Amino acid sequence: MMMKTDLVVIGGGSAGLSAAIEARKNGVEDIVVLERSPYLGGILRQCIHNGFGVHKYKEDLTGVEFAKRIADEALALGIRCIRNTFALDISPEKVVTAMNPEDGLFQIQAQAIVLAMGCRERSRGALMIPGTRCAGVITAGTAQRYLNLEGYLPGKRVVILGSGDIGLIMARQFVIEGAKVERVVELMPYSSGLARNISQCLEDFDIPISYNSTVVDIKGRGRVESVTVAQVDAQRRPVPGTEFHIPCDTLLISAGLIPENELTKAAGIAISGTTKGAVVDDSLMTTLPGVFSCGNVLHVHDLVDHVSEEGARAGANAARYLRQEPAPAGDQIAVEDGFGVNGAVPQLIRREGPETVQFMFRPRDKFRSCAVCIDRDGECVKRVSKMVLAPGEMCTVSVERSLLNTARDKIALRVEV
Amino acid sequence: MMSMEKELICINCPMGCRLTAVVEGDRVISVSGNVCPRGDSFARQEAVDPLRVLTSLMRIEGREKPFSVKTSGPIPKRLLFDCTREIMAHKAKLPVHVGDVILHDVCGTGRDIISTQEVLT
Amino acid sequence: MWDAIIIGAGISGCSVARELARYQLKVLVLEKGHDVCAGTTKGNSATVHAGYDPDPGSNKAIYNVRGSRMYPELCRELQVPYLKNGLVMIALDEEQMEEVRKLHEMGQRNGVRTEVCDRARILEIEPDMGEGVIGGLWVPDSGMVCPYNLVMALAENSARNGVEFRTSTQALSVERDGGEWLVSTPDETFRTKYVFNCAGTHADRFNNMVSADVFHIIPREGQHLIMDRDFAPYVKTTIYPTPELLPGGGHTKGMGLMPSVDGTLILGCNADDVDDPDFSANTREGIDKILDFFEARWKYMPISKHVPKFPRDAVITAYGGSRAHPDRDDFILGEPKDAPNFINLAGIESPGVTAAPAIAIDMVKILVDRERPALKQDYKPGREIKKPFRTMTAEERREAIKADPDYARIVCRCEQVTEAEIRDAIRRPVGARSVSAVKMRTRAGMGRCQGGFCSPRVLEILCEELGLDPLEVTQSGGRSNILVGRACEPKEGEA
Repeated sequence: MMMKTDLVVIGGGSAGLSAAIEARKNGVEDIVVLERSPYLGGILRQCIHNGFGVHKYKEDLTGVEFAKRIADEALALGIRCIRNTFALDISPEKVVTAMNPEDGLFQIQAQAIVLAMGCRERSRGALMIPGTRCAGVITAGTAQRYLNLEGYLPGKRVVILGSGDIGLIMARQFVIEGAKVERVVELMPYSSGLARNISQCLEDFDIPISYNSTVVDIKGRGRVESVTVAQVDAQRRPVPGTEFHIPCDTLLISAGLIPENELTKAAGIAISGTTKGAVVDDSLMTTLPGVFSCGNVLHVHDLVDHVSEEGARAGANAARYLRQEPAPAGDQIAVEDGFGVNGAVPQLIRREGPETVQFMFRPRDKFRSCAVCIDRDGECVKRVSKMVLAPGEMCTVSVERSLLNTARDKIALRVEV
Repeated sequence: MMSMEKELICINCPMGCRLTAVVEGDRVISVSGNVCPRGDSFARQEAVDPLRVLTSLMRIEGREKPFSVKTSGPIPKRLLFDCTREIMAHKAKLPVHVGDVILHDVCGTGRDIISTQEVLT
Repeated sequence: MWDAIIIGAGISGCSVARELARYQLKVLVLEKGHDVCAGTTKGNSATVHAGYDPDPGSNKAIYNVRGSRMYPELCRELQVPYLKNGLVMIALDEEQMEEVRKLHEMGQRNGVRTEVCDRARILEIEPDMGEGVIGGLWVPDSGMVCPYNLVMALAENSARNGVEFRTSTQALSVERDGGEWLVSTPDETFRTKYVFNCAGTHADRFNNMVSADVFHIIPREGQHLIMDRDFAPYVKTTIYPTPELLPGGGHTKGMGLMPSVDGTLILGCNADDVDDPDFSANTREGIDKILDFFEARWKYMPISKHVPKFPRDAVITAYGGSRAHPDRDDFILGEPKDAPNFINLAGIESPGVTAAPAIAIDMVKILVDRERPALKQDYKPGREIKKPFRTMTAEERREAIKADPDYARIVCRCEQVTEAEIRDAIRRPVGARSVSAVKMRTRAGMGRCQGGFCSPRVLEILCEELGLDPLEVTQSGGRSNILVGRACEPKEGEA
């Protein structure tokens, strides 16, 4: 039994739903969204804090509200969202194999696919944090789920490793829940989270943060009893003699997110070593024609508004692909990361297409009063001034395609200080 | 009267502008470092009586899992824990919809506690 | 009154249990851990050694070779994955080739197939082996197993045939009483005719309580890293650099690169003596030793052809375990002269996982020869278990979902473990009672996200199946509770 569908969207979070909504608005009738959980909205369902939707809805919403709004919008447009459905495989021929308890195992032949599977958290294991295998070592997002979706506190005396946004948000919520947050420990000299979260989640509650530091040991039988923190040198290696112990029952890890591209790889789509997401052109199309990628599965974003906006672009471009508008002629121009730039997306530029091309990337370091330069074959064709660049915040620059499409060799993005 | 400089990070948007407010007593004399008017008004408030939106969980009768709530607008930061205590002392009744007022005028702030989640059963 | 009490439910204890389960005997297994396979057997290199390198004539050599030959049938019977992938010991220079020839000779004396290879022959076996490898030793009968998977299967099969298991039950003492033994735990004293001492790094304590023939176990920790399954397809065989002599004389196999039966790569291990017999932590030094070792030698590994630089960020987790290194440098087996019916399976360090099934047969034979117990008429050699969902074909998946829709609910996405399998792991004989026990039986939480997504759901299913409150669920027994309180409730000391 093979279903046939114009567009399959994998993932019913903000990226996937935005893509489906925009595709529908661009005339695609036959859309199926596959969502593995029983709910739409993805990770936003567990984000009870506010700060969402300022760009998209011009309103300060909580994640839960944002999720409901975008899900309601999709359902109001009559988009078919199949929940409890796990996508097992995507073939290079765009056959999606999925399953759920009602329909069993089934296959859908798609004309176009939008990948919107989101990301996962870097774990204790991936960070190779030494110590005993006790309970109480938990990633920030998992803790957020226990607290906000299940209603249980995963710790009462907490040390946080990494200053990612989820960790910072959780620090505040732990305090509100009556727990003690002893300290945030950050490997780098700067935070990987948003400045406003350092302010309103840590400073508001007098939670100290140690930069250039890491957790070098976890002690505890049963549950965590203490962690050992040490300073690191320029190579990020612990400096002997700087260790100190912090008694605690929980080590919360908020040290990075990794796009979940198992299905992407199964389809044989090229993956970027930097973003860990698919390699895409400026229409967000991957190296497999008709397959698009957006949101945190493409590259890890800082704001849901950006995820949603990128999802919408993927949806609109998928619609264009389905209308079989002639593919732009010519080869594609490679985009390179220059000084200060980490993981510029898109990685490929088409010579023809809409007037402007939008680049996004993570700065490699903190920069002040700087500029982002776009080099065409080594010559700077555009310079965009920026007051502040920080690794915790995604940098976006728009460039006229006419400045780029005459490149013989490559485009490069770099930061000029 | 002596004036004092306060360093602030604007939390209005992800830009996170670094602001400097010059304060005399409970009066803000000047604000710098902002790129938009929201930054200016943020600093004028933040330097003398910071305001925050409180988001939290609340229990609901007849249901194992809690649901999420927020204040209907920013409240004085100094009242965050008082409001939290009121929220935790209360149990909502089914059903709740997004935007439902659960508690009126929490801690005399003039703000309500409203539901941010729909719970029907 | 028990016929036999086994102290310890690792590979030795559970192998003995399974052998005893064939007879009409009352057998009890006492395990201090929260689950079977909670100690030494849990953290090792997962290798079924062929037996080319133990000293000829030693217990290690005899039982290693015998055990290795038992594995294919044992794993088939218990439906445990076993991979006979062979082992290549690589040589980088003539000096190492000399060592290879010596090991080949040793292999011949132990009756193990080995072959001295030049580079051309190595490339036939592992086509992508790195430049600079001039030759090596090929050991075709080396294999891989998942040690805890096997122990679970042995335990389950024993339980199915009537053996009783008590976990979280620590044996404290053994003493002679008349012609019998009294084994005491904190809550109870058991009387038994035979004791099988399978207490791993604690085995010396029990022996030294009952015999003047004392020995000591020196816990020796070994740590391993696991690399993401994306990287496994590039390595077919187990690869060991030619061992370097240890400063104290003698040698271990050293560090190896092993493709696990579950499709990941295992890297390790170090070997350092420790004080704590229950040491299972990872240390900065231990992890760095492995990373530095492989970073330096990466170019020789076949994977380096596809992944030129050692991919540190492909490591998904680290684990550690203590091995029971005896001061006698060989397995300590059988009855001490002054302690009849007290049978040691002690000092079972590497190649213990391989040797244990063979050792168990001979140790149980002591009892059988003396007591002549009758065989069970209804003995069941296997177990009833479905294939893991992740290894099913599309057709098998379709059928499985039809029979039980919970097969369509993926709980652990990284390892594709379904709700049906998790419920089954809890309901089975010697079933899972903790999040870690579910993980050991199903692999839920062993993949790249390390349980970030699935552990809340696993916890929920444990509550449903066992009637627990979420606050009672532990990671691995004892005080390892995962959750510590309820949210948004007035806190103590506040109005």
